[in-house]
Amino acid sequence: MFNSAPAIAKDQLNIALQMEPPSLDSTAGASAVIDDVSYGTIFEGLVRLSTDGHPEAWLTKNWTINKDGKEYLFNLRQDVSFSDGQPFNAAAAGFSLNRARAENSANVQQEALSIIEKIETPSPFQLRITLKKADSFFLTLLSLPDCVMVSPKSANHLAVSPIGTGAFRFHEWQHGNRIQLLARSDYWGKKPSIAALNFFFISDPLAAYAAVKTGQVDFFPDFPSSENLKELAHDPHFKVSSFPSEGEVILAFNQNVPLFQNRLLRQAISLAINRPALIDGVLYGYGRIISSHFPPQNPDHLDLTSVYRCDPIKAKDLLKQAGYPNGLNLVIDLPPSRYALLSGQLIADQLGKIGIHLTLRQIEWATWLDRVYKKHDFQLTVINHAEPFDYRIYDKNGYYFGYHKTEFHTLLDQLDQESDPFQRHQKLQSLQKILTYDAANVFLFQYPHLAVSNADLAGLWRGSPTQAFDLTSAYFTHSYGTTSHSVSYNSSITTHLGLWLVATFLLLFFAITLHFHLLTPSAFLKKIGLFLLALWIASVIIFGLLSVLPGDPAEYMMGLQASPRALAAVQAEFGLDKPAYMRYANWLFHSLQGDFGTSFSYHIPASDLIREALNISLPLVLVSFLFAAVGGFLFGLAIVLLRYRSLRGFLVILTRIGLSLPGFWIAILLLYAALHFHWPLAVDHNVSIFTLLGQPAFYWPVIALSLPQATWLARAFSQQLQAIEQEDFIMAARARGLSRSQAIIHHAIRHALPSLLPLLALSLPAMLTGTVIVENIFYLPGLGRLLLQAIAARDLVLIQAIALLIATVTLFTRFISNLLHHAIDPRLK
Amino acid sequence: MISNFRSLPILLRLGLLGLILFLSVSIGGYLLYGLVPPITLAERLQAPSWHHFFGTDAFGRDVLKEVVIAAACSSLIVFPAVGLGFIIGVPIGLIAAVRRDGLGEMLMQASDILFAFPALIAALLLQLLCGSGGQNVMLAIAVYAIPVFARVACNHGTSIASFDFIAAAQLSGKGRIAIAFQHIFPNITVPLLTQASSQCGFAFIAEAALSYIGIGIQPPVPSLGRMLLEAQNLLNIAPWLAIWPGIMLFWIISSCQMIGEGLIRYQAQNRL
Repeated sequence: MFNSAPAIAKDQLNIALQMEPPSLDSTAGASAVIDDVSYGTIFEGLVRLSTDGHPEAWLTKNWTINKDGKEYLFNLRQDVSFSDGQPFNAAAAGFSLNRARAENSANVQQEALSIIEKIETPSPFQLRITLKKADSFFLTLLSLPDCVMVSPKSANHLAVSPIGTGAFRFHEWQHGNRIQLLARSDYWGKKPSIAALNFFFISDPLAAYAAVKTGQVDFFPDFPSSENLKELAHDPHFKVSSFPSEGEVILAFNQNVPLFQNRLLRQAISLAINRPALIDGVLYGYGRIISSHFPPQNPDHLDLTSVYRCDPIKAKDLLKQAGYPNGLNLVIDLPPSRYALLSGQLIADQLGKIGIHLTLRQIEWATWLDRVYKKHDFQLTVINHAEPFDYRIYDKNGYYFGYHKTEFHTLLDQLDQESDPFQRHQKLQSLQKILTYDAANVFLFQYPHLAVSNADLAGLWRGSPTQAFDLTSAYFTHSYGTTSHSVSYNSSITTHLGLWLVATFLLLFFAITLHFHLLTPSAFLKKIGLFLLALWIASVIIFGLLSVLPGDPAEYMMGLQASPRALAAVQAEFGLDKPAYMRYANWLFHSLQGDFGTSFSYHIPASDLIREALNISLPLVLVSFLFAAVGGFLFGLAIVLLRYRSLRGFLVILTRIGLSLPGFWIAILLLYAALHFHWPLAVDHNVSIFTLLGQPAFYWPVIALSLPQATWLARAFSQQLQAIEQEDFIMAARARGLSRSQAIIHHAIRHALPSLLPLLALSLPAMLTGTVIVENIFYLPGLGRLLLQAIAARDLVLIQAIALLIATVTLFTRFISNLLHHAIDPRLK
Repeated sequence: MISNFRSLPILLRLGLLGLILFLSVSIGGYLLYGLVPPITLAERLQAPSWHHFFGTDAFGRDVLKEVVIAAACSSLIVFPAVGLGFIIGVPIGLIAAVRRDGLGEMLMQASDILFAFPALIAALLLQLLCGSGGQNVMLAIAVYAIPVFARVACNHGTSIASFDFIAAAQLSGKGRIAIAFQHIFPNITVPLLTQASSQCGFAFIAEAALSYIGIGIQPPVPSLGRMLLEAQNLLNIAPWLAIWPGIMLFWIISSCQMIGEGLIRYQAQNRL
C-alpha cells in the first residue's frame, strides 16, 4: 500500500430509518420516528432516562423535590445555547413547558402535562414547577421527547427548521430521501466525533439489505428484514444486535362486543396460538414471547408464558365450553405493517386447527385508526403497542379493545397511592397476573429492535425505555484510507428541471404552429375547450373521491393519544373544518396558481415535494419514453425491412415475448441480476441531470419501464407498415422503380407515423403510472413512491396534487397528440 | 363459424391451447388444493426439489400449489372484469357510431375522459374508498375496459356504417339501434375479440401490479402480484420464488396476445 496521505477517520454517520418522519418537531405529533431523528441530536430535555430507566440530569444540573412531592426545583445549566445563538435559560424552559401544556397546544402530552399547576422562574437559571398532585411519574414525563426545550424565538417554525440545544443542528432535508444534521461547534457538552449525521429512509426489506451490504448505511437501528439477519450476523463487517423494545405485539379482542366478553373464548384463542412459531415465522427467531402487556426487560416483569403454552386439544375443549362446539367465523383487521400481515396469516392457520375460520382484511393505517381505534368496528386485530408503561390502557374508558375489570381498576388506584417500592413491585406483578389469566388480549411477542451496524461503529448507547439511541457518542474505530467527502447538494436541479420542461413544450409548440394552418381555429378552440372540460371533470372526481374517504387526516397526523383539542387545532390549521364545496373552490383557485396547499404529512408546500420527486421521475419517464419511442420505431422498421425470413421471425417472436413480460417482473429480475452480479444499484440522485444520466444504476428502472412499451410500439408500427405496403401508392412507387425498402422508407413511414401518435400519447402516461411500481422496486424517491407514501399517510393534499398532475399530463399528451395527428396526417385535412 | 380447428392460423391455435391449458391447470389446482395452501414452517424456503417442484416460500407453503391457485384467482378476476367492460363498452361505442349527433359525441367524449383518468390512481382511490379485495380490483379493471371497447366499437362501427348495406337497412325502415346491433356488431366481432384478448393480457398485468402494491386478493389466498412482492424481499435468499409467478403471468399473457394476433390473421384469411 502506498498510502502517503494520513488516514482520516470517517466522520459521516449514515443512518437508515424505516419511515421518514413527518416533521422534526418532537413537541408536536406522535410519530416515534420524529424522535429517532431529532431527540438527543437536535433537541434535549431537562432530564433524560438512563439505560436502566432512571431519570438523570441533562439540561439541568440537579433538581430537588419538596416533601409533599408537588414542587420541583430545577437548577439549570448556564452554558447552554440554542443552535441559532439564543441562550437557554429558565425563561426558555418555562416557555417550552407552557407551550406544551397550553390549551391549544398540539402536543401529544398536553393532557398529561395538565398536572402542572404553575411554573415559576425564581432566578434566571432556576425553574420551579408546582404540580396539582404528587406524581412519581412526573420526571419520566419530562424526559419524553414531547417535553424538550425550545427557544421562544424559533418555536413557531420547528416543523421546518428545528432549533434546539443539542449537539447537532438541522442542515437539510431532501424529502423522501435524506435528512442531514451537522455537528455544532458551540455545543455545551462533549463534542461528538461524528461531523454529520445523514438519515435515510428505507422500509423495503431488500433495499435495506442492499444498503447495508454495500456500505451505504452504517447503522440501521430498526432493520426491517429479519430474514437477512442471519447472513449479516455471519459477516464480520457487520454487527447485529437485538434490543428489546417497549413494544408488545398483541392480538386484540374487541371486548366492546358481547362475543369477546366471553372469557372462555378468549382463553381458547390464547391457547390455540403457537407463539414460538409466530416468532419463528414472522421474525426468524428474533423477539421474545410475552405473557402480558409488560416487556420482559421491565424490572417488574412477571414471566407467565407457561399459562398459554400452545395446546390445540385443550383449546378446542375450551371453545366447546365457551359455547362454540362447531367453531366459528371471525374477521381480523390487519394494519399494513409487515409483522401484522405475517402474524395474521400464521394466526389464521393456527386458529383454523381448532375450528375458528379467520378472514383476513388488510387495511390501511388511516382506516385502522378510524374503524378499529376510533369506532371500535372490528373483531380482532394485531397491533404493536410501542409506548412504554402503557398498561393503563386496560383501564381506559372508550379504549378500542374495551377491556374492563373492577379488580384491575382498584389495583391501579392502589398503585398510584403507593410509594413503597416493594409494594409497587407486588402490585405491578398482580396487574400482570390479572391480564394474563383473564386473557385480556393474546399477548404474542415483544417486538425486537434489530439493529445492524458497521462493525467499526462504536460508542452507541441506548436509553430505555425512551426509544432513542444516543448518536452523539458514536465514533468509528477504524481509520479509512480515503478522506470523507462531504456530500454537496446541488440546488440547481430544479432549474434543470424547468429547462427540461420548457424545452419539451417549446418543441411541441413549434411542431404545432408549424402545421397550424392545417387546423381551423374553431376546431382548435373546440379541442382546447374539451381538454379544459376534461381537466375540470378530473379535478372534481379527484377531489370528490378524496373528500368522502373514511378516516380523519388530523387524527392520523396527531397519533393515537392526541387530545380532542389538539385535533381541533390541526383541523382548523388545514381548513378541514370547512364544508367540502368551499374546500374544493379554495383548492381549485390555489391550484390554478400552482399552489397545491401544504402537505399534511410534511408541513411544507406539496408543490415543493412534487418538484423534488420530479427530479427523479421526470428524467426517468422522459428517458424511458425516448428509449421506447426510438427503440419501437427502429425495431418495427427492422421487422418490416429485414429480408431473411428466419431473422424476421425471430424479431417477431422477440416482440411477442417482450409484450408478454410484465414490466415489474422485468424490474425484479433486473434487481436480482444486479444483486447477484454486484452491479451498482444505488442511484445518486443528488446530482445534476447529466450526472444522473451517466449512472448505470439509473438505467435498470429505465429498461423495466421502456421495454414493454417499446415492444408494443414496435409491433403496432410494423403492422401499420405492413398494411400500408399493400396500398396502391406503394405499388405505384414500386412500379416507378423504387426498391421495397426505398418505397417503405420514403413513402410508407410518413403514412404509418401518424397512427403511432395516439399510441405514444398512451405510453407516456402509462410510464408515469408505471413509476409507482418501478420506483418502489428500485427504491427511488420519485413521484410514484411519493404517491404511495401520501396514500399511506392519508396526506390528502399531496394525493390530490399528484393525482391532478398525472391526470393533467395524461390529458395534455392526448390533446397534443390529437393536434399533431391533425397536423401530420394529410388525410385528416 | 369455426368448423375446423386445424384450419385456424397457427398463432390462434397456440394461443387457445395455452389459454385452455392455463385454465385447466388453475381450475384443477383450485379443485385439488382449495384456496389456502397449508403452512408448514418446518419446510420454509426450500429450493426446488422432487418433493416441492417449485420450492417453498417463507411459510413453507408449496410454491407450485400457490402459483396454481393464484392463477385461478387472477382468472376469476380478469375474465369477468373484461367481460363486463365489453358488455358495457361495446353498446356505447355502437350507439356513438350510428348517432353522429350530440349524444354519440358526448358518449365518446365521456369515455375518453374516463380513459384519460390515470388507472392506477383510480384503483388506489377505489381501494381507499371501498377497502382492498378482489371485487374492487375487478371493478377497476372493468371500468378501464369500458372506454377501450367503446373506442374500438366506435371506430370500426363508423367505418362499417358508411357501407351501402347500412344505408339500405336504413331505407328499409330499421331504427338506428337495431342497425347497430344487427348489422354493424356482427361485422366488427373480430376486432372486438382481438381487443378483448389483448385487454385480458393487460388486465392480468394490472391485477398482478395491484396486488403487488397490496390492493387485490387478500391473504391467505395467494396472488401472483403479492408472491412477487414477497419474492422480492427474499431475492438474495430464495430467488426461485421470483421465477414461477412471473412465468405464470408470461404464460397467460402470451396466450392472450397470440389469440389476439391469431384473430387478425384469421380475419385476413377469411377475407381472401
